[in-house]
Amino acid sequence: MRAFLARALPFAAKSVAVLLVLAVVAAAGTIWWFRRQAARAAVPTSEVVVPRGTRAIELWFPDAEGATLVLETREVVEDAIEGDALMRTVVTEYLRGPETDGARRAFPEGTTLAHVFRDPSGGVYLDFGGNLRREFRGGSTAEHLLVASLLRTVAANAPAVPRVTLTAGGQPIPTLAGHVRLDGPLLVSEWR
Amino acid sequence: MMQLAVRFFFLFASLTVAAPSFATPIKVERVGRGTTETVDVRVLDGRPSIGANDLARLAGGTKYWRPDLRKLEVRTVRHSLRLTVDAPYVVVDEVAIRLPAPVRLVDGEVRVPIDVFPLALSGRFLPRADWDPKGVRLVLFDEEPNLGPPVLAADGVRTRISLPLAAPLEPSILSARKSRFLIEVAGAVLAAVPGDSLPARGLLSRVRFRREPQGIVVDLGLEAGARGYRVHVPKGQQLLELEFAPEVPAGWVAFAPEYGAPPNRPLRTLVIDAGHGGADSGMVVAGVREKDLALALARLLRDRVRERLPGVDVRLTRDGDAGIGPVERVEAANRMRGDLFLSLHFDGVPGSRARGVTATVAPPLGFDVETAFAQSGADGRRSGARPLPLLSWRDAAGRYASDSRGVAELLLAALDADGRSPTRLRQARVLPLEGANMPAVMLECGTLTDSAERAKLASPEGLARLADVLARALERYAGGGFWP
Repeated sequence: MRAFLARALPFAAKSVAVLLVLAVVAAAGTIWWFRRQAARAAVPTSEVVVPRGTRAIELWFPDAEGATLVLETREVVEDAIEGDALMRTVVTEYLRGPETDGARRAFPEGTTLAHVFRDPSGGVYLDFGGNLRREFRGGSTAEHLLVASLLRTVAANAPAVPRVTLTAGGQPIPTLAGHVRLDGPLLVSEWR
Repeated sequence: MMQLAVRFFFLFASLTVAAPSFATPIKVERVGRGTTETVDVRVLDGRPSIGANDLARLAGGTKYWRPDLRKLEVRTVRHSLRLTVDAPYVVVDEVAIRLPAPVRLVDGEVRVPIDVFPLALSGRFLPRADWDPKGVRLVLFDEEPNLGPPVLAADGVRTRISLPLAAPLEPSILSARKSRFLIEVAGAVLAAVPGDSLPARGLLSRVRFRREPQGIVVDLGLEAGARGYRVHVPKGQQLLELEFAPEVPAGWVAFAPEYGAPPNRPLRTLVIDAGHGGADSGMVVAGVREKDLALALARLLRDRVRERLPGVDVRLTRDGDAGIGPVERVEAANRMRGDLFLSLHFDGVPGSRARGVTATVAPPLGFDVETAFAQSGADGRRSGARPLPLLSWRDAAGRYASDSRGVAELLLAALDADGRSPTRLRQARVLPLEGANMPAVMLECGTLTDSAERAKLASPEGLARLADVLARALERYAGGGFWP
C-alpha cells in the first residue's frame, strides 16, 4: 500500500500542476483576446465614415393637368453641386424628368444638355441637343410650362443667376411653338 | 376646413401620441421666392417634427451623417447645426439651444421639432423663420422685407395706404377697375401682415396682399363713391402711397370702366388674328390642325360680330392659309388702327390631362410710364403739349395691360359660363401680341390634346357655338349688350 502511494502521489501532483499551468495560460489568453478586441473597438472610425455630405436640389415640373408647377426634391452628393458643377447637375437631373406621381416632363424625352456657359455678369447659357426644336410638341401652355419650370428650377438652386439663354445645337432658338420668344436672354425674375 | 382638420389633428396627436404618428402635410411659404410648398410633419413627443432632409433643404445646407455618434450635421458656408438623436437640444454655431422635445430617429430618418426654425435657424441660416401653429404654416424669409408694414388711413375724403420702401421698387397696375383694383410690386418682400389683409376703411371695401413669385400683388376693392386714384412715391420719401378719392384731382387717374360699361377706347375696329398658317400648322392632333381651326373660327367670329355690332369694322390678319410672321400680323393690325386685337389659337399639352381655355395678356408697364400715357390721352393718340415717353416695340402692348386684362376676363367668363372650364388668365410676353398698340388678347380657345374637347371643337356646330359665345362677350365689351 505504501509502495503504491509512494508511486501514485508524485504522478497526481504533476498532473494537477500541469492542469493549473494550462488553466493559467488559457485565462491569460482569454484576457489578452478580450483586451485586444476592446482595443480594436476603441479605434475611432467616424472620420472616415462621412467623406462627403449630401444636399437636396429642388426641381420644378409641370403637373399632370398642365396647370401649374410641382416641386420635387432630389439628393445629390455635395461635389456635384459645388461651383461650376451646380448648373450642369441641376439641369441634367431636371431633364431626366420627374419621379413623383402627378408630375410630367416639360422637355421632350431624350433631350440632352450639351454645354453650360456662364458669362461674366452671371448670365447662364444652356445649350441643348439639336433635336429639341424638332421633337417639341405642344401649344402655348406646353411652351410656357417648359420655360417656367426650367427657370424656376434654376432660380431655386442658383438664386444669383439673373438671366438664362437657351440654345439648341449651338444655335439660337427663335421660338419652339410660335408663342414664346427664346432668341434672347430670359429674365429669371419674370419667370420664377 | 382643411386647415381646421389639420389643427385638430395636431391637437389630438399632442394629447394622445408620444410614439410616431402619421405624416401630415403643412404649408411652407418661401417669402422672397414667392413659392409655397407642402412638407410632411409627424407629431413626436407632443410636437410636430420635420425630417432632417427637408430641414437641410429649406435651410440650404449640406448634410453629414455620423452613424457611430448618431449625429447629423447640417452645414452652410457660414453656419452649422448639429443634431444628436434623442437629445432635447441642438448646437447651432457652437451655441446649444434647448428644444421643447428631443430629436428622434424614426424609420431611418432624423426628425427635429419644427420649433428649430424660429429658435435656432432664424437669423442664422435664414434671415427670418416663423412657425405659425394656428395657421399650421411655416413662413421662411429668404430675403429681408423691403416693403411695409402697410398703414391705412382715411380722413373722410381721401383714403391712403402707405407702404415704407427699403428698396427702389416700381409698382404696376394689373387691373384698374373699382371692383378689382390690382397693383403688382415686382421684387417686393412684404413685412409680415397678420392674415395678409387690413380691415376695410374709407373708400376701400377690401385690402389684401398676395405673395406671388414675382413680388407682391395688392388686391383692393373700392366703394362705389371712389372716382380717382393715384399711385406714387412722394419726393424725398421712401414711401409708396396708394391714394383714392371721390373726385379726380389734377395728376390723378380715373378708374377703368366696370364690366358692361363702354370701354375707355370705343370699339370701332376689331382685328381678329387666326394663329399660325402656311407651313406652320401649329398644334396637330389626330389630323386636326390648329391653323385650320383658327381660320375657320376667325371667319365665323367675323360674321357673328358684324351681325351683332354693325358699326364695328372687323378685319382679319389672314383670310387664307398664308404663312405670316407674328410681327407682320401685329404691324398690320396697328396700320388698320385697330381698337382690339384678338389672336385665336388652340392649345395642346401632350402627355397630360390638360383641358380648358387660356387667355394671355401682356404684363403691365411701370406705373410712371402708364400714368404719362394716361395723362397724354385716353387712347394714347392725343399727346397735346406733353412729350410721349418712348417704349421698345416689345413693351408696346404693356400700355394696354389693364384694358387687355378686362377684355380677357370678360371672354373667359363667357367661355366658363358655356361650360368650357377650366379657364386661365396668364400675364406674359408672347410673340403674337408683341408690339400691339391697342388692347390685345391671345386666346387659346380649347385644348386639342383632350379628346372630348377636340371632338367638340372640330365639329362645325361646336365651332359655331364657340364663335357665338365670343361674339356675345365682345358685344358686351363694346357696351352694346349684357351678359348673359
